[in-house]
Amino acid sequence: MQDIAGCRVIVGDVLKQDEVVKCLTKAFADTSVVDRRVTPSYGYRAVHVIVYKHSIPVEVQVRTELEHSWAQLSEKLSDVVGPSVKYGGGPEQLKSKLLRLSEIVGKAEAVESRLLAMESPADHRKLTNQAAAQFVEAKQQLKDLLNEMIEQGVLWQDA
Amino acid sequence: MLFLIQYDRRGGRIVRLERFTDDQRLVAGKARLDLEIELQRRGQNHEVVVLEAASEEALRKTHGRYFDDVEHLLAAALAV
Repeated sequence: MQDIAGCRVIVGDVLKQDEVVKCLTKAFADTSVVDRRVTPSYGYRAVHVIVYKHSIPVEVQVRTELEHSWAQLSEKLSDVVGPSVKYGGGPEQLKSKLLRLSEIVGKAEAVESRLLAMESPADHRKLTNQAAAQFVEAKQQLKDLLNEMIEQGVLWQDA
Repeated sequence: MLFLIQYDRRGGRIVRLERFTDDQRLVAGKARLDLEIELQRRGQNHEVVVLEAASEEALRKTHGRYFDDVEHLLAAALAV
């Protein structure tokens, strides 16, 4: 852990996330960006920006709502099941479900990002429809998996 | 606002939540230190943090892990 202070910003989608990261790197002279959307850490997705205030490193965690939901769930399960859950350990079924959830979040956000970045959807109707269908599919997969986890509460309760 | 939280990780629940105004930063810091010393003396391995947020609602949003159980967090994820 390199920071001694931190803060957390939660935004609606990946484009807003990119904007916040851009603002932070502009506002502070010395920053380093760790994009955990590209290389998730045991499923954890977010962008961390380390900024320096009076030479003190401050970690700013910039998360989308979806990434934040996943992170909170993973942190809570690390509390009640065991700290290894946060680092890719814990009961096998739970571990695979968390990783699968994270993959779906990544998939949904990749499509969402493409959709939001389209400037003139009318010119890209086919592509838009395709991406929208993929996004709906990813969100449905996410819902199905979350519902499955709710129904199989035993995964963490009896661990 | 500042919030002093004593959190029982294994139990997944808040044991103590104290609120301080923005100008009570030093008081909150001292309360945290006193609590950490007390827990150390009692051999209780609880997490103790002081967090700053615009409101308790904002804190519950950014740090729901302290306030909500697994079922609530799953339900919240479903609502996104």
